[in-house]
Amino acid sequence: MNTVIDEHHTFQRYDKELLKLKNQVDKMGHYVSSQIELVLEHLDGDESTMDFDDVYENDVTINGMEVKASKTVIRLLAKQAPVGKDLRFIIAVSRIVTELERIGDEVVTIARSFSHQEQANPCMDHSSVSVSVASLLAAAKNLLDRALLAAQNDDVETATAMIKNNLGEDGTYNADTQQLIACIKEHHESIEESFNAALQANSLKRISDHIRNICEHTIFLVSGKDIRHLEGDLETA
Amino acid sequence: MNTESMTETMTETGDFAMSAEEKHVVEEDLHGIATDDTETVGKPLLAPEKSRMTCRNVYVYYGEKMAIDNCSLDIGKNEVLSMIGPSGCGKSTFLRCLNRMNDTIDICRVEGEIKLDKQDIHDPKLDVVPLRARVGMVFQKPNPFPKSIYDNIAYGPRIHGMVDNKSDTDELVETSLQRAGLWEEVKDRLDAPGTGLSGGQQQRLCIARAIAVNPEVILMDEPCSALDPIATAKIEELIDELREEFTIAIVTHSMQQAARVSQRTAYFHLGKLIEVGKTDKVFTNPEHKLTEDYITGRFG
Repeated sequence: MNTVIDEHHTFQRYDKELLKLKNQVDKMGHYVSSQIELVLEHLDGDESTMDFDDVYENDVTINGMEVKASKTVIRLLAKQAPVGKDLRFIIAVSRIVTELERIGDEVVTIARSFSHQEQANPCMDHSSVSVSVASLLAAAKNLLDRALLAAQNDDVETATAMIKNNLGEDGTYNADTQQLIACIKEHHESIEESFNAALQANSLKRISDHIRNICEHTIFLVSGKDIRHLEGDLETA
Repeated sequence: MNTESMTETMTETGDFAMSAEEKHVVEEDLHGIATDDTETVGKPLLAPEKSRMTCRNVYVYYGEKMAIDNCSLDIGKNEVLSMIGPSGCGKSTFLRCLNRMNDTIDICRVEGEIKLDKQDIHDPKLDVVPLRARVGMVFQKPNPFPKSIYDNIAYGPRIHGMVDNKSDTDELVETSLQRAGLWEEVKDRLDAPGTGLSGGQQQRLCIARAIAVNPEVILMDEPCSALDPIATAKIEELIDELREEFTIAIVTHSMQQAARVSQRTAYFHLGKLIEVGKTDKVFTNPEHKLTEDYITGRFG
């Protein structure tokens, strides 16, 4: 995104509008990341911290950010008739904003699943499971921060590497999610607890999908190549 | 409509099918934009069977000043090629090369090879007058002859010997005006002076005049710059229809117009042909930085 902002147009109002859009998506990304941090703080505490009202209120703010950014996108398309990298920037940002809003929704789903939980999730404590929902959520936050930084810096290399390595540096994120799902299948004696655990695992998987999408949108912004829905992986020449 | 029939419809129309290029992306394609201007990037040349006009190593000089620097470009059959670039970049000069209109400028010298259907247009044996019928031109300012609407259309076919009786001339005039989308507006006043029409109508009259002599190529030098948005829209619609019969090369200052009407776009900069490519690509993901800077309004 920085390349689009740093190279100025002759018509300076155009630059100001593009900068406004960039600031909106930066702010929204930071807010969603902080939202995950907030849920983790709650999970780190005792039962009294399982009241997630602040998380739910913040999600309303995140939704409002999406709407505002969308209005900026529409205004830019109507008034400036963007082409080239400006057009790709606007399209990529509008998509990233949607991904961030969806991540926010999944974080709320995870929060709600904990607030409905009366007993500890056996899949959080089972000795055969080396990860927990909280640690996966923390990993998701780190991945989101990396993906957003790559978008800000037009860093195709990082975005590409995150996709090729299945997001985690050693591909562990999705592997850990699968491990959690396997645990849920094994401990199906408590339907309600298993249902909650399944919701959490599903939300974690969806968060990873949205983060991957952010990487894809970054690649589109910089290179103009749309790598969504490829047959197989990104190829090396 | 059930899911199965929806899928069939999508596959049949091909609208939703991904191309082979879209399905397989190579990592090395994700990096870099050209900055060197010694060679034209993109696809300036076409397969021989697809070309109507070919230009190789064209140089144009006004006296000692070089206006076009080693340009090689093909214009395809039944395509609209738009030529864009800042003022003074050479796009109109290049356009005028294609029907030897630069011959009318004393200090202008053209070097290189330009062919129309594999025939060298600078061949001494070639008569330039019929060439300018085969490669017609429409100018920025509408310039109807100081004659009636009827005679504006009939004049060219008469002097080229294409018609020899009134009946054939009447038919040719009507057909030309219909193809230019002007017949219904002027059929009841063909004897009225062409200069009495509105700007948009005059320009369509000029297009009708050009197509009356059965050209193969129509050159348009900023045909809409003197027209209002409604007249412009009608000319653009006409260009879209004429493409089915003719090859069209259009110089335009409006990038939105170039994006709307053309299949390929050529970007000129300081006499050099910087980039040529499919219009969709040039306006969404150009290969050269100079092209990108120009189309996005980064003029320095």
